[in-house]
Amino acid sequence: MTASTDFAGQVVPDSAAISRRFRRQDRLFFLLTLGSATLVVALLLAILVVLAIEAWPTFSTFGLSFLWGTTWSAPRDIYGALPAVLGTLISSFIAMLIAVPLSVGIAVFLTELCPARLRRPLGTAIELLAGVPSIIYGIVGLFVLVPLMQSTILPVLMATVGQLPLIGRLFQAPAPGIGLLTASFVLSVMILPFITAITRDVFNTVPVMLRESAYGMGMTTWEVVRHIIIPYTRLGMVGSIMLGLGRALGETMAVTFVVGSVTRLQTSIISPSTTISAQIANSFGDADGLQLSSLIALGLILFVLSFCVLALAKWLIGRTDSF
Amino acid sequence: MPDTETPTHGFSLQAQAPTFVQDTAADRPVKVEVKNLRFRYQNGHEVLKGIDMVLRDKTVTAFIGPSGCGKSTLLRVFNRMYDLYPGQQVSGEVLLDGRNILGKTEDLNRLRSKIGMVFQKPTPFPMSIYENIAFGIRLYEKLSKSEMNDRVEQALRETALWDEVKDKLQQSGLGLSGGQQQRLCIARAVAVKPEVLLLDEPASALDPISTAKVEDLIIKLGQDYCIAIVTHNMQQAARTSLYTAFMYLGELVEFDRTETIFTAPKQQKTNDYVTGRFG
Repeated sequence: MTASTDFAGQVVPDSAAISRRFRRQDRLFFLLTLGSATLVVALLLAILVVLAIEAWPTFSTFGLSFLWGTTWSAPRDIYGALPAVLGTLISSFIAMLIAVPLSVGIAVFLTELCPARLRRPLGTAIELLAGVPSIIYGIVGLFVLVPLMQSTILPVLMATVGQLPLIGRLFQAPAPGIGLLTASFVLSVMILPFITAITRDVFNTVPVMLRESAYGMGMTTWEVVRHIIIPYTRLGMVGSIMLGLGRALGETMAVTFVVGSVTRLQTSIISPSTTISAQIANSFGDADGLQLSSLIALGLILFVLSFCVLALAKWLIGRTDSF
Repeated sequence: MPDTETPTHGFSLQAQAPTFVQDTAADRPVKVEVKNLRFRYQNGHEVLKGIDMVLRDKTVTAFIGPSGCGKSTLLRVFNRMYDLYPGQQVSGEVLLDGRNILGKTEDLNRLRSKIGMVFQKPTPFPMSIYENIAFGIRLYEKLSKSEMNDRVEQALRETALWDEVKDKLQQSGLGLSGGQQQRLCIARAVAVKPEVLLLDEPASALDPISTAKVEDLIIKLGQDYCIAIVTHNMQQAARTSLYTAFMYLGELVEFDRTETIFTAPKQQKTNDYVTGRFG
């Protein structure tokens, strides 16, 4: 096709050819990006499939009772997931119990009360806390927190909370310092920055005018936070809590340092115990056969658990703006 | 509520010339007095450069002027909203019933209970329609259940919202239409029995019918409250207010009866603005 000219003699580009070229380029670009995006999903599925295949011997040997089996014994080749699963759930739960109120408090301070000059440095400090490698938390946990727990905190807990009816049992045991509660403390510090940062961000989604109209009614800061900001952002807050929970469930290194790695069902939360990820990290090196399969089955449980928690979190955070 | 009165401030296409609010009585007593008020943002920009004016009780006063002239800022001085943003400086005096409210010891929560505010966009609280109104009342008064019901109904009736919402009081305020939400916000402000009502472009986000309803409401409430309304809509100022303040670049250019401002302004600038030559 030859180039045509317009009435002024200017060469008019062949628009059909150009749009063909554009279409080709766009097509290529589309395919490239589609490929990258699909790769992620494919990887996710592949991981799930590999885990499922590798875990199959365990489930065919023990059936679903693997989930609530309480014995984990390599010599007898009997494996049950309950101690590790419970350890993961309980340590995450306690960590949330500590971290959530603290995080919300910090987020309230940062968004409502903090002098403008301090807002940025404090916010950055919190975010930096999230960037500390987990091995550091493990080291500090083992060499600083564990001795402190052993010498001071646990004896005090045993002498006070440990004397209460019902929950007292949770605090009665020989306490070498390492244990589920220590792991929970370390975890709570680790997830604190995540929950704080996201909670602060969802607090900042409260429209300025809504905040001002609340203050304009003569509400105190506490009333504004309690009755306006928290209800307005409740979905996003639950989402941020879920994200923190997702991290706590999967955290390995720091927990492995301080949890004690005892695969037995414990009646107290101060005893050495284990979690899914600590269990895997500790035994993977010399495991084979059914034990290896059982470790992978543990991994599969953790995968499904955190997947559900994260999916729920995303869904809740996504709904924040929609009302 | 049956519509018994014929509106004297029609919203019709023919009515190009606005019908002004007629003063039926002599001037009402002064409620708020502003003396040499200056206001500076944290970046040093002075947005109010010595304002002197009065707001009269049971009277609607409109603030008009081009964007950035300081009219919203002036409104936000009256309830000390600027206190939320450290670094903003104010000097001069604002006397509410003769008492300066700009003092450091002023109790802001009490002040804001006396000076209600409604914003450009509806801001219903994330709670039920009933609670939106009851919540504010509960901040200041201990009422029995039935007294509270009465107060909520009264506030909703005052804002002509009762018939529209009486069957869904327990539903979220966020489910109402924009116009209804805005009237709910006005009802919420009125429910705590304020002395002054600040309206910051209350109809700017509303459709014409809702706007007309809100304007009717402003005229009605103007008989009971000292109202200051910021508006970009000249017709609205003309329809609703007895007094108008024309501001420009942080100064009060002219302050007079609305009718005078719109028909025989003394300043050339005012004339240019109200006739649409700039702004």
